[in-house]
Amino acid sequence: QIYGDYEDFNLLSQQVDLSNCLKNHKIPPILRSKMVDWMIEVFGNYKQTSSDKTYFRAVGLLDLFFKKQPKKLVESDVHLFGIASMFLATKQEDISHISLDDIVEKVGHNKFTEKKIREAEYEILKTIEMKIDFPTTHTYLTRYLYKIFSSETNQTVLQLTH
Amino acid sequence: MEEEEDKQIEKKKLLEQSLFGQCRFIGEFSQIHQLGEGTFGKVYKAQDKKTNEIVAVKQVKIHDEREGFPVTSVREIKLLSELQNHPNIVQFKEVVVGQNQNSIFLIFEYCQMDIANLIFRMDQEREYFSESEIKCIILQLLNGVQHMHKQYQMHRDIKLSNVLINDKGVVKIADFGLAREYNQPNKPYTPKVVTLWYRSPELLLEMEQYTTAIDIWSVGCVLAELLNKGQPVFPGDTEMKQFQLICELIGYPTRYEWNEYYSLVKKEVRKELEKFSHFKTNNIQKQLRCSENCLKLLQKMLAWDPKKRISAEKAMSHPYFSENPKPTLPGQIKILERLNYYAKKNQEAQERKK
Repeated sequence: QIYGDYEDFNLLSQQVDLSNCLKNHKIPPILRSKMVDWMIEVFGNYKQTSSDKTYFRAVGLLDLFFKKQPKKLVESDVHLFGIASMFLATKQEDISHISLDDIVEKVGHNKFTEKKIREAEYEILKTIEMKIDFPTTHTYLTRYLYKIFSSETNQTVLQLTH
Repeated sequence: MEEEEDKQIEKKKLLEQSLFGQCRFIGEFSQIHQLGEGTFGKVYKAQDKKTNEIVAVKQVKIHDEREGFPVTSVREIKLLSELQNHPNIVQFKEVVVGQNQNSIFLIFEYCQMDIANLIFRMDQEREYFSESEIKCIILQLLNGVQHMHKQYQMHRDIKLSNVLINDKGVVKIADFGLAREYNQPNKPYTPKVVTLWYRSPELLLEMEQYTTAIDIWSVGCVLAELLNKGQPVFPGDTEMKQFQLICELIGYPTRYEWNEYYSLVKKEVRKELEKFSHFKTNNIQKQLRCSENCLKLLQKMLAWDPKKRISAEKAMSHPYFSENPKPTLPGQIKILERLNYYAKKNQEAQERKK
C-alpha cells in the first residue's frame, strides 16, 4: 500500500463546481465575460512574470467566489473582486508577483485604494474557505496533454504547455 | 464562572466564523507542548477538542502585511494541498485562523519524531539502525521525493531534521517552507536554498538554473549520513569548506564528469577552487565501508553533474535495495517500541529549554 499512484485521485477529489456561478447575484453574464476579457489584457502586459496559469487561476478564483458568496452582489462589485482575484492569482502562481502598487495604479487606475483591495482579497479567501488550490481548466488540459502524448520528456510539447 | 467563560468562547467563535467562513478557530485546539521550530514558524503538539485527535499545529509567521495575504503562506497552502494523499508526505489537514485577523495556523498529522533527533537520542543509548532499516527509510524518503518531483515540485530543503517518522515506522517529508514549483523551460531561482551541509554543487556555485536533481543530492547526503552512523558527511561551515569536503569525498570534477563546470562557472571562481584539484579519487568506499551496489548508488546520487544524477524513481529500483540485507517493512523497524520513550525525553528537553 505504501508505493502507489495517487495523482488522478487527487485531481478528482479537489474538483470544484463552478457552474451557474452568477445565479444568486444581480450581475449580467456579459459583465463577467468582459471582466474575463480584461484579465487577458492585463496579464498580457505582464508576460515576463505571468503565464496562462495565472489567468486561469484568476478566473477560477473569481467564479468560485461568486458561487460561494451568499450575499447578493451587484454590477459594481465585479470590478473590485476581479482585481482582487487577479492579485491573489499572481501571488499564487507567479515567481515574482505583481506588486500591490502596480495593481492599484496600473491595473486599477487608482479607482480602488490599497486597503480596499486587501479587504476584497480577504473577503475572497474567507468566502472560498482558503481553498485556493482547486484544479482549473488549465490544470486539466495540461494533464490530458501529458496523458495523450505521454510526453513528459518531449521538449516541444512541454514548451507548448507552459 | 464557567458558564460565563463558555459564553465568551462561544461569542468569539461566532465572531471568528463571521470573519473567516468555515475555517475553524484555533481555540478549538488545546496546546500540549512545543515540538520545534520550522523555517517559517513554531510547531506545537496539540489536541483537537472535538475529536480528541493529536495533531501538529504550525504557526505561520507573517512578515509583510502590506502586500495583503503573505505570498509564502499562499504558496505553502497551495503546495501542501497539491501533494496530499501520499503516505510519505506529511498529511496536511486544514487551515485554522487565530484571534488576530493575520495569524494563521496549519494543522498537520502528528508524527513522533524527526530522524535527526531520533538518531541523537539513540546515540545516547548506544543504539543504531541496521542496514536493512536504513534501506527502508531511504526507500520511503525516495518515494516521497519521487511523488513531489512528479508534480513538478522541488523541496529544496531535504535533511534529516525535515524527515519525520511515526510510530508505525512510516517516514514522512515535512517543512515545505522553501519548496517551489519546477517548470521545464528552466527559469532562474534563488541559489540560497538548502541547508549548507546538504547543498548540491550547482547551488554552491550559485547557478540559478537548477533542477529537481538538487533534492537527489540531498537524499544522497542523507543516505551517506545514515551509513556513517549518523555523522554528516559534509559538515562544512562556509561555502568554501563545503566545496573542499565534497572534493575530499568524491574528487575534483573532471571535464568528463561535469562539463558545465568548465563552461558556466566564472573563471575567477574556478581559479580559487583549483586548489582542491589534487583530490582525485573517489573515497566513498574508504570512508563508509559499504557494498559494491551501495557505492554505485551513492556515486549516482552524489554526481557532480546534475544531469547525470539518478532520478528518484530510478533510484528506488536500484539493485542496492534488492540485495541482502533486504529492506525491512516499515512496521518492523526495531526502534519503534522505544519511539514514544524517546519522544517523551525530547519533550522534557524542550521544557528544560524554556
